[in-house]
Amino acid sequence: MDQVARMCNDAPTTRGGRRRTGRTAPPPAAARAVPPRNPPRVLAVARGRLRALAVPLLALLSVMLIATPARAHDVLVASDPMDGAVLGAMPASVTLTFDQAVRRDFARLAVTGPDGAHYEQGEITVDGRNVSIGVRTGTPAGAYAIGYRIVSNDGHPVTGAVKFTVTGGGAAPGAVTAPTTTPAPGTANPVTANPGAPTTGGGTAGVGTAGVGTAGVGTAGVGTAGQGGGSWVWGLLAVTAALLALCARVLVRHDRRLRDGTIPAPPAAGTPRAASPGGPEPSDTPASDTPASETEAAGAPAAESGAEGPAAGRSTAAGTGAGSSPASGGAA
Amino acid sequence: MTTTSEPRVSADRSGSGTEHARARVPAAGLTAGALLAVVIATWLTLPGTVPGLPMPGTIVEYGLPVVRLVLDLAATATIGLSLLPKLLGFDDPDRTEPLAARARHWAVLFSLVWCAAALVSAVLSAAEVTPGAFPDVAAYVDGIGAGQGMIVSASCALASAAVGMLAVRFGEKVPAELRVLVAGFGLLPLPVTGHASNWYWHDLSMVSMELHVIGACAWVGGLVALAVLLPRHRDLLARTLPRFSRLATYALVVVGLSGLFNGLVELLLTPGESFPASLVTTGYGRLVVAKAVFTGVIALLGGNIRWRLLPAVTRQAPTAFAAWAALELTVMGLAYGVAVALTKTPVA
Repeated sequence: MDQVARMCNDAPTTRGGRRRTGRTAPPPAAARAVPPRNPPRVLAVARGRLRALAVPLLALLSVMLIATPARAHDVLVASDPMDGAVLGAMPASVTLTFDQAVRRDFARLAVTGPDGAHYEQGEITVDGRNVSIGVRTGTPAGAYAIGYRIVSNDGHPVTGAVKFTVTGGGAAPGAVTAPTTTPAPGTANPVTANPGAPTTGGGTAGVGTAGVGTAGVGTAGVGTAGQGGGSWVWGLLAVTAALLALCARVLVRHDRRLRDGTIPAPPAAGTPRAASPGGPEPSDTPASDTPASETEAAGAPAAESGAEGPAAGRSTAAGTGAGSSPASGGAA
Repeated sequence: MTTTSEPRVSADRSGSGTEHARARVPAAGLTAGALLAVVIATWLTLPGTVPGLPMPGTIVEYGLPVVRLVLDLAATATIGLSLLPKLLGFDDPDRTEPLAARARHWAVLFSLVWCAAALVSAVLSAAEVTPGAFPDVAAYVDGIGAGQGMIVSASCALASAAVGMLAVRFGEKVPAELRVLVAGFGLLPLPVTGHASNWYWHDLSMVSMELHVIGACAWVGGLVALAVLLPRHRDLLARTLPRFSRLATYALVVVGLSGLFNGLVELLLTPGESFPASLVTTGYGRLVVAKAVFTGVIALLGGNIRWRLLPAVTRQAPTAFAAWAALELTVMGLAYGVAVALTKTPVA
């Protein structure tokens, strides 16, 4: 800020010489010692070379700075039961194996039966590359599907389904509790099953409703946990959105005033008062405050930019509509 | 709040309405091409429904790629507009200053859009991984690198907007290098949100992705800045286009090689897919092929501008530069749309 103020104090005489004055002013960076009046071609080439060097350096730096490496998508490589398998009896649990370690959080599995009911039971257990979940007893014969959604290390969800067919009766009752005895470390389970779920349920209809019920509980749990831990995030997001809107408004207003000639254009603005940190806020800059010549000089580019410039209405549209506006603004 | 001379301004504006419309064609082409490509590519690579699990809604499935596209385009525009003063040169401020002032103005607006898009993208990404539940942005950002990358990118965009605001106020005294640097830092986290391969040379592929993103932004952003702001200033175009042409040549080589490298590495290292066949059998492979084709077309169009139009442009003769640039930008937009889908599509 000090440097900017100092540069502004240089009081350039003409707009034409302003840029050069800025260049010869006490340089903020040591590399600014380049003589300013050289042919621009030489300068451009030198700077181009500097930039060409800077780009890979920056990239390297970023790789070191951003320590969380992006990994590839996880890919399902095996499953038990396998896709398309025909089993005599329903196994006590199903396991999916991916090519990389699976994130514990956000992982979900569902075993859907021929009647559309859920047959998974217990908690999801994650052991390295394996994700497994228990299956209820008393499953009817027919076609089953294991639906999965895990979140890869790169943050992308990976979804899919493994289908298999069961020809016989249910699994051994004792084996059902096996998966729940190994609770995985980490956050709350998204698919927390009711511990008191009836494992001896005989009728498929009853089992089906129980399965649906536990699924509902699971999502509700996620919802409340999310809101409890993240309400301040929403507040922060709202504040940021308001800040962005305010910035856009200030900018558009500044642009409009510039065009109207109410305030001088940037090249002519050399007053030290303007060096306050509130640079973007052009709130009170009466034209009488600036010398007449400067105002006149400002008038020319202002009128010119008004003639060629984008319509103010378009600026407003692009500024206020936060997320989707550039698309519509550009296409309009 | 003193908008006294509004009628005068609107009169000026209506007088050159067709000029405005013409100046917008390149930007509109870029945006329309990108939107078209991203919607089609997303629709083609939409994951099927998963039995027994809730799926993200249509708003998330299409909204996330579109917002990501908005982010990419806004970042590109920011970079390009920040680069423009460097391309224009500083030896003739009387001629260049009006254009540079508009570039500064639009650079700040696009930085703000970029920041907003990054935040919306983080929210939608959180909603995508927990469908059927309220998006837990805090947990997503805390646990997943892509969320952190979005937040870092949004912060850099905000910083870029702040520097840009200073530039709007103080003109080119705020060095263009600084603006490009700050905006460039905002690009760096973006590849983290895509997928890099998990292999021994992981870092190399990350660097390659960074180069890809930076090169593409400088190239497309520079061209869109030139095509929108410069076509009616033949003298400035005559000086600027050769500089940009050199930059574009480097960018073409860097972007093409790094993109090819990353796409092929991703295809080669995915288990369960045999390589040459996976170019056409997998959605990812098809998108890679599409992008390579687009890059080839862009190279041809760029070559056309460079060898057939550039001599006339440097003579300040009337050329169809704006039209050719708009066409090239439309193809670039298609490539951008495919790129967004590519970052989200699993190989297998």
